[in-house]
Amino acid sequence: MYNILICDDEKDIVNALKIYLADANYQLFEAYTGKEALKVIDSQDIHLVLMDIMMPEMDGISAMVKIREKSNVPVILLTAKSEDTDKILGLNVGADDYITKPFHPVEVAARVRSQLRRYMQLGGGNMKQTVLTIGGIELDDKAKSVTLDGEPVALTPTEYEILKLLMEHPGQVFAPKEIYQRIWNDLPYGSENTVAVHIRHLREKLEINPAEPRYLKVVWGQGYKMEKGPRE
Amino acid sequence: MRKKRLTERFVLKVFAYFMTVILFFGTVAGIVGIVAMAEEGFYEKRMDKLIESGLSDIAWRKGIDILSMLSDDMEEYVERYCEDTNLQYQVLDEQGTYQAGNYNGRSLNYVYNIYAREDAPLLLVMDTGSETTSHVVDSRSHTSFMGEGWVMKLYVDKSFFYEDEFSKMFEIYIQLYSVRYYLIGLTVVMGILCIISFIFQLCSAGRRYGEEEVRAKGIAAIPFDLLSVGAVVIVILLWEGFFDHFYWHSLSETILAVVLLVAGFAAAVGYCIIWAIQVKAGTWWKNMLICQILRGITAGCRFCIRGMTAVFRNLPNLVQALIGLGGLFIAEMVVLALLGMLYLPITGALAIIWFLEKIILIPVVLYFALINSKLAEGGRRLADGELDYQIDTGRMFGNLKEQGENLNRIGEGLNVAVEERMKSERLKTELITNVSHDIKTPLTSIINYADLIVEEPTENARITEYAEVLKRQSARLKKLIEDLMEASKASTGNIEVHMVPCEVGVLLTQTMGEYEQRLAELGLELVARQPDHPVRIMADGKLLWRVFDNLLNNICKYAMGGTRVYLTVEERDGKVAIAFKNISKYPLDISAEELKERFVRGDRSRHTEGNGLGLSITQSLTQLQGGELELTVDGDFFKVVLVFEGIE
Repeated sequence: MYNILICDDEKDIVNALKIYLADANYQLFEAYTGKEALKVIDSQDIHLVLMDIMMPEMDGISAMVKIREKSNVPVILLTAKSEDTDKILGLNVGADDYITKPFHPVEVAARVRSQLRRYMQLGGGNMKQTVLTIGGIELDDKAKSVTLDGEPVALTPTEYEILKLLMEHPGQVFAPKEIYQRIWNDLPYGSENTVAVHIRHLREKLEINPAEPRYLKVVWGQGYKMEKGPRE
Repeated sequence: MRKKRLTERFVLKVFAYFMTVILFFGTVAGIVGIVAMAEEGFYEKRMDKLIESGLSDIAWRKGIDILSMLSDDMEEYVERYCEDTNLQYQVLDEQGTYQAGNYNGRSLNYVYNIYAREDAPLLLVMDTGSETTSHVVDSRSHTSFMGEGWVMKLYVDKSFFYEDEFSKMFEIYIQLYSVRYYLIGLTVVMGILCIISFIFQLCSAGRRYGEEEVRAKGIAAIPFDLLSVGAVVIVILLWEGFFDHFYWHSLSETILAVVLLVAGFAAAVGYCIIWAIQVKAGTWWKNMLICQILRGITAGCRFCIRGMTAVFRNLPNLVQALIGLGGLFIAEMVVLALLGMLYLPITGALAIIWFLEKIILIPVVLYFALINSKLAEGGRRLADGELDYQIDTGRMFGNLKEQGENLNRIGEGLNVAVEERMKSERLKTELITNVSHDIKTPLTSIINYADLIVEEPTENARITEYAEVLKRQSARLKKLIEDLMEASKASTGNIEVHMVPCEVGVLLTQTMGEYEQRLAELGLELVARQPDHPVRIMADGKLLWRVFDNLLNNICKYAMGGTRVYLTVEERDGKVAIAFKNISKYPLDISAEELKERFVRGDRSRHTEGNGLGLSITQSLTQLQGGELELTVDGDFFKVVLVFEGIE
């Protein structure tokens, strides 16, 4: 049973979210200002916060800074502000994820699930030598298995090899040509397209929103890279 | 009211004025007297000697008179001449025999002997006992009575029984002798008093009770030089017309002369007073006629010069330059002509003058060159967009200064205009961003609840159908708002651009990877062509991807199924052209230019999703990265070419 706090000054949005997140496993709390949210967090054992930024009395960013002073609870910002600078600011001051309005209900549900799994089940992240971990992705080279937020992900051998290469060098940009040479051990003759297609498939399997990947990022005009964990 | 000062008392001033005049003449008279007395020996001789010599003068005159009467055989006249006087005489020959005289033998105090010198019969010698003086007589006839070796003895009675010339002189000499030193003292005192009263007049001149400032009024306001010239003229006229022909014979003339002298001196004192007043008022120099005339001339000259300068300034620059060069030319000619006239060694002087002229000319030319380069620099910087640049116009003048200041003002004006424009664009973008945020919140609820209705199981199929429409249209609205924001930011340059070297081939590969599946589902075949070697451009990868994304999205929406889509990269003259070509599903009844306008789409009927902002955003984003977007529409053939500068 997880306690989730939904905080938004728009009552309709809170209600809609309650409907989407209605689940036997979730107990939902609601708040309409940053201050109310802080009160709920003080009085209840909250496992995840969904928070709007623009709210009266105390805005979401200030509230989150307050929360971070004493708690490590996952916070997903849910806001109409879609500029890159807003996202970077939110993530920098301690948000775990960032969803822009208007949001897709399924996406919200998926991100909530993902954050809860990571926070509750994988919390400590006990490191095994043969296991590569980036954020919620775990790659066990011995078992040749990949899990996302604790759930197994089915990958083809080529996808697995590409993911392993990228995860071994987090933050490093690999050109499609280089990936092809390393994985296929062959000279690429216009076959880099294959790499791009595999990467897209990987993204679709690993990312909640493939258009805005959290882990497997496209560096346009240069190549691909695995992001270092958002909060590591 | 404060008490009247001494210098403000009118009566005192008038008194001092007359005192000055009187004391002056008193002093002069005293000095004349002292000098005369000194000449007579008042300050050297004892009194009896002085009297003796004084009496001798009269005795001599009378003796000569008697002698000339005796020579004319007029003894009875001599008798009458000596009657009732203190003078007696006798003439003795060389043996001392009495020849003539009225001497009665009584002892008389002063005895003078007159005799002719042997060598010069016309020279009579006067022997007073203590000294001898020689006098020349007019003719021998005066002394013909005196024989050779004869002596005439003259006796003056010291008791002065009769009142005559001798007794008067004696009395006067006695009195003068007693006051001879007092006279000096009196003269000195009078002189000092005269000077003091004169100084007092100078000090009090112009002071009036109740007025702090001295002002030259009335007669005192006459220009000082005019007054001086008048005074000099009057003095000259008086001298020439009167004193030059003056003899002290007639009493009336003498009185007139004295009156004129006194009046002249009084006028001189007045002249000094007027000068003092004008000095105190500070106007004596400025008030002078010469000064006023000079001032007038100066003002006139200044006016003329100013007028000519104004005319010169308003002439066209070409005419100004012609006048300047013409002046120089004429000056050179005049100098050469003068040299020729003076027969100077022309070559040497010419060289020196040529050299001097160049010394003057070179700084002038350099100055103009320097100013010109400053102006050019300013203009160039302005043209380069450095609108804050200010030209230093401190050492410029005339037209050049004006031009410099105008350039400075252009910069300021442009700065203001640019700032205004940027501000308004920023405000516009901010407005759109804020409105979008405000719209998004209710839109979120609309989308969510439409979705909930769709999911809600209901027996009425129509409700589900209507909810679907609601859901689709709200999604469109969402896309429209996002595009609107994007377009606004892109067109105003409100997006951060990080330019890095991008490999076009890699981007093309990545794009194809992203779109391959979707194109295949739509029945479109993607054909990519690029050079064998890597082609690189400077761009922001993320923005360039958005350009590609938009263009391929358009292709997915509008390309006719079953056709090929071409994606080619070419290098032409150092530039890189990336072309997207496809065949439109709908007729393109619109020009390429119109297509790029905001809110325009290829199909006017608008029966598909999309809002027409795509191409506008794409163009703005391309331009932000320094690229150009070319659009070609030829029937149903649709081609977009992105042109970027290539790098090695």
